[in-house]
Amino acid sequence: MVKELKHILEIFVKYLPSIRLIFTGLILFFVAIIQAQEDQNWTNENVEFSGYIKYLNTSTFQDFDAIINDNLLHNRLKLKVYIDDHLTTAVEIRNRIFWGNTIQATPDFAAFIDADNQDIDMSINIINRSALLFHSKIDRLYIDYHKNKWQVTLGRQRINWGKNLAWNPNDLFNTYNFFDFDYEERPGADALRVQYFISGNSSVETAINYTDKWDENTTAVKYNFHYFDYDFQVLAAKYLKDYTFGIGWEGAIKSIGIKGEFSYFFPRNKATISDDVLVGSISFDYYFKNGLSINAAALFNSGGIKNTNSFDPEQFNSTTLSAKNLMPNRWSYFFQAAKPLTPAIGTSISTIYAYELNGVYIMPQFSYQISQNWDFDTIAQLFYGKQNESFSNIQNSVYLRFRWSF
Amino acid sequence: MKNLKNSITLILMWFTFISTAQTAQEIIKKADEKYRGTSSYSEMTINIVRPKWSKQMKIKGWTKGTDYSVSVVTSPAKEKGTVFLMRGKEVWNYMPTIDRTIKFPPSMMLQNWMGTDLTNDDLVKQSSILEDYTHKIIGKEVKEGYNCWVLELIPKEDAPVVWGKVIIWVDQTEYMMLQTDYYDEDDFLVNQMIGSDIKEFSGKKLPSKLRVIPVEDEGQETVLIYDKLQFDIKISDQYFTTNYMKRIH
Repeated sequence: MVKELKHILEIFVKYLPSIRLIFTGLILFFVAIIQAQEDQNWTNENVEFSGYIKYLNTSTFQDFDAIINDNLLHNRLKLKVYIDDHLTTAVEIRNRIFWGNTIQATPDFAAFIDADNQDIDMSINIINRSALLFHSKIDRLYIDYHKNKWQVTLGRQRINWGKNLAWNPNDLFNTYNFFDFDYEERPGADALRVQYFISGNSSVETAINYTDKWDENTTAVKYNFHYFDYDFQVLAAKYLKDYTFGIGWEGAIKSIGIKGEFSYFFPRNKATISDDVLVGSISFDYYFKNGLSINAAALFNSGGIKNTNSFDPEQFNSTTLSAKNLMPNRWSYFFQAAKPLTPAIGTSISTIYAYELNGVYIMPQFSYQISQNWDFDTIAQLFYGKQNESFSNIQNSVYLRFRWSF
Repeated sequence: MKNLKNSITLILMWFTFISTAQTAQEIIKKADEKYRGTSSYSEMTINIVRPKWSKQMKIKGWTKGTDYSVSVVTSPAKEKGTVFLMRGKEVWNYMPTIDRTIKFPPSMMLQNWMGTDLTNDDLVKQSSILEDYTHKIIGKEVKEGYNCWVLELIPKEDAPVVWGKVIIWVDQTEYMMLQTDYYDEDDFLVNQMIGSDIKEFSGKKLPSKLRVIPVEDEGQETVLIYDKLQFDIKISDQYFTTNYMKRIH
């Protein structure tokens, strides 16, 4: 009997996906908190439930002889509870259903989508068939304690240390891929973050990322201060296989906004042959009275390639994107112009020129707010590059997106 | 002796006159102070109206003195949790979806705030109607059933003001600003702000509805309605810091 029980328990422990335990525990925890509050008013004031459902249709083509069409139904659920004046907890779940040409043509599509950036597995393929994938992932799950000058956040969280719009060499925990426009929340990092507020505008913080291997870990300290109308940050970190020092700022020269981020990386293990790398980006922004805004930025990556024979758009979409390698080449330039035509209609165009790759990326966007909670966007991503000695269009994607927010 | 008596009478009359009649500047000062209080909490509904489209937003706001204010969007769902912090002339914006705080560059101040007919500058009030203008009473009119002074404000040289002239209607009993007309430098009427639906908030009578009308664009306006407005409440200083922005809800 005991043996059988033990056997059942072993099966239970072995096969029950850890995600279900987390889910159940979490839901019970939230239910308990909400139940404990008899006052409906308390729930209204302190429990926030929100999210959205998006439908994204993607057409990818080089010419009109072959169009690859894909669909994505994308739901996000967000629950945040302000337990008391000091304690906050939150969970956010990202559910996605994929179907279309790409999934059918890509044998390891599910594995690619399920590839987690964190070592604690909080994602699951609910339906995994050759023509349809239903993937669910928890990308926020944290508890936050704030008292007086201290704030401690534990769990899967977004640690956003970036200052610029396009490139963020200071953003060590969740590097932003500008091309992945449909994931504005970004993945979370499993981390312990402690912040101490010296004054209203200055603070010091440290964050430690949980990983199985030390080489994949990031441990960093950052000091923020406000000086002469500028917000500054300086940071030092053990970043993966490197050490890094960084500085970032945001402020203005006359009426032009200027932001910058620089990070210097050097290998921890002196025996390795990899070089020190400096990654820096400066951006300028200006807002015109008529609503037009422009942003121009340059990125320098001393470890980037200096020349290439042919351009491959995959180099832009690299999954190995890190703060040390925001673009694979040395010099890149970014320009964006955006203008709302009416409160309901917005337009923008963004472009990146990768100098050594001879690659140009153009992203026009049109957005329309249909009603209070309904949005429609059309976005195109056009890649041009030098292939076989001639500069030409390489790949295009056109996206149609509907969004309902709640 | 008779001359002396006349002189005293004249002097006394003069004193009586200056103590009852107020200068344009004093009227503006009283009207301005009425809105400010030492601190305030408000809940507001904002309707953006366009000829074939409209949008409703709800915001909560806290202010302290003239330099500090913070507000959070509570509706619609997509913008919920967005926070604006103003400290003096500096503005920060916190966006919860990307967990990031951005500092507004100065050029952004003249852009419209969240698609409304108000500019970021209107919210921060970089310019002071008291200090940046010269004031003159130009007439008397009735607005919303109240007897009002009509005041003309001309910006002082070098004042950080985009207008050529501002006309304000201030009522004579409660010192409410019931209407403000903004003229550009070529003397064309550009914007109107019209107050109505007068209510009592923390013992102060104020218009609970403000319509901001860009005169040249027909069928276009922004309507602000105070659902709640409290003055002189206790607010901790930490509410107005970039570090606390993420916790405002």
